[in-house]
Amino acid sequence: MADETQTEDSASTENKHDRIETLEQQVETLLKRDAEHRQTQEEMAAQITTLEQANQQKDEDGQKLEERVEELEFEGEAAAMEGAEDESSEMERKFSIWGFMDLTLAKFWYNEKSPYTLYLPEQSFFTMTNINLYFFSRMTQTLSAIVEIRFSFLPQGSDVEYGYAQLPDSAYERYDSRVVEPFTSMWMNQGGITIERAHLTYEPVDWLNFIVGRYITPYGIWNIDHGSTVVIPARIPYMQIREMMVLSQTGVQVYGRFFPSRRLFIDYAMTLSNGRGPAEATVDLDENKAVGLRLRMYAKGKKIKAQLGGYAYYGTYTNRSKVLDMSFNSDMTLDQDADNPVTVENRNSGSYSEFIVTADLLIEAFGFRLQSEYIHRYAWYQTKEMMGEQAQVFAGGRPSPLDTFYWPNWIGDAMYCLLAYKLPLDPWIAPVRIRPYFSFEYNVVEDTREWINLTGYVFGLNVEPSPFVTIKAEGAKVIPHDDIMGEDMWTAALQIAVSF
Amino acid sequence: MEAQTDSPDDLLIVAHILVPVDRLSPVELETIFLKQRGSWRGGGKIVAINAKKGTELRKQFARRALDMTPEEEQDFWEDQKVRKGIDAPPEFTNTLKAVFKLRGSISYVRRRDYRENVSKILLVLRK
Repeated sequence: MADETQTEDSASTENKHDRIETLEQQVETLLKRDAEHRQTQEEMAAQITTLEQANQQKDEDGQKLEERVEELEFEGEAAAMEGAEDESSEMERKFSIWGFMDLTLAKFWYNEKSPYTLYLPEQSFFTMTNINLYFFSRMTQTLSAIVEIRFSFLPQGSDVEYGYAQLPDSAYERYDSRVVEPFTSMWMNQGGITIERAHLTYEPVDWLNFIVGRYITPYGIWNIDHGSTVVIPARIPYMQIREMMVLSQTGVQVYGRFFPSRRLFIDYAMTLSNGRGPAEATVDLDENKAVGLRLRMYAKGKKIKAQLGGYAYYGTYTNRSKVLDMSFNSDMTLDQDADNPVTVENRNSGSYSEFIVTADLLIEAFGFRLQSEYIHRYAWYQTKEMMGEQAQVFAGGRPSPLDTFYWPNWIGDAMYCLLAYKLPLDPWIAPVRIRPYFSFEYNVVEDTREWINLTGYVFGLNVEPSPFVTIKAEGAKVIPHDDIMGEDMWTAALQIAVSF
Repeated sequence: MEAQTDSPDDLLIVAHILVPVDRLSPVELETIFLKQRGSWRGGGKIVAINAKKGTELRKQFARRALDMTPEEEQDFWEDQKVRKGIDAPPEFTNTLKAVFKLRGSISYVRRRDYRENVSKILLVLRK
């Protein structure tokens, strides 16, 4: 029994040893596998790191490629713009045409048979008086040219001559420019054109620029900027209608702008021209050139803009007539033996000098626009000029060659003041703008011709349904300074102005 | 003074590298883009360049630099056209590219679209 127990104990111990050995082997195997797994993981981590680095490098390479593509695009566009010495001027080079026109329905109320009938229709009428086209070319960054043409249906239908009750042989004559078209025999109305301006402009720097040609006199507010959609009332101020200042000149102009501070401009202009004359657009009938000087200060704040300016002008108006003097023999042939068988005298038929000074003010703030201009003109004759028949009548004379009336020296003073207000209705009706306005005018155009002087009160409403269209409804009371014109006159006008 | 932080939507007023000024005031910027000033202080003609009409960039510039809505800006240029025959500054799709090449030019770009070394910054209009 004891042997059997010893044998059983030995066997059990041996089994335990075997099991331990087996377990140890298993553990060893597991440890080996664990070590292998760790090694595999490390290898995988290293691979992942390598791949991440490779991706990062690719991203960087990709970005560099994108940048390079963009650089090439830049260079490509730059290359496409090569060839012009000054790419800026090449970009801006252009030719453009634009313009404005208006249609007006007007009615005047004045005394029957008043002298106003000479100038203003008694019946209501539609009329188109402004059909302006601009032709503009910018040749280089500093060089441009502009031509402004005003087309008109006149002179068709205009008065040529009046009849005079005291002169039975006199007859009224109206200009008839109708012609027959030869192919259809259709009657065609011929109109006319006025060349408002035609000049070359050279603008090298802000402070020194040049205009050469026919230019608009740089004075006032609505002389240069005279588009129908720009001018607030239906007609320009009376002082401008009566040309108290020369509206356009043929010659040269030097102008520029200075910036004394960031919110202040100072503009200047100097003009040299033929001045005023019966043919001044094309020829000066005297050696005296007209000179002018313009100064304007312009200040702009965040909500308020203001400008104050003036223009002074001195010139001479001369009218000449050409008279041929020929020497004849008794048989009415030309006397070739005479020293000067044909002479031409350039006879001065009237000349005066004039000094004109103007001032203008414009303030825009909070929707209000306050605008005012003043002109003072003094004219004195060197060679007296005879009045025409119509002028003699109004001067109290008779239209007879036996009576001779000469124009006297004169002084003119005129001003207007306009107030307009853009109604604050943008939240409801934008882009439509509505602007009521009121203007007062006092005009002594010539103190020696009272019948052309008047005072005016103008009131109206502008409606701008778009930047291109302005509709104006206006009324005015005109008080003549001379009783010869009759009682006060009332006017009404409805105008639609369009720029295109 | 509290430091202002840069925003990607800031408008950078950029000019050609050779433009003879390094700084511009907001008022000067306005006079340039309204064509009331045509020459740089140091000489040379100014070529103002706009973004395309109707783009957000153009609207933002009109609001921040000119204090105008797009409609007010259009009104202004229509008025200038009739008065003086002046057009708005020319338009480019990519204003930064235009400034890069055009001598004397000035334009604007969002900060997020700006690239270094292709133009100089004269002014920053913050949102």
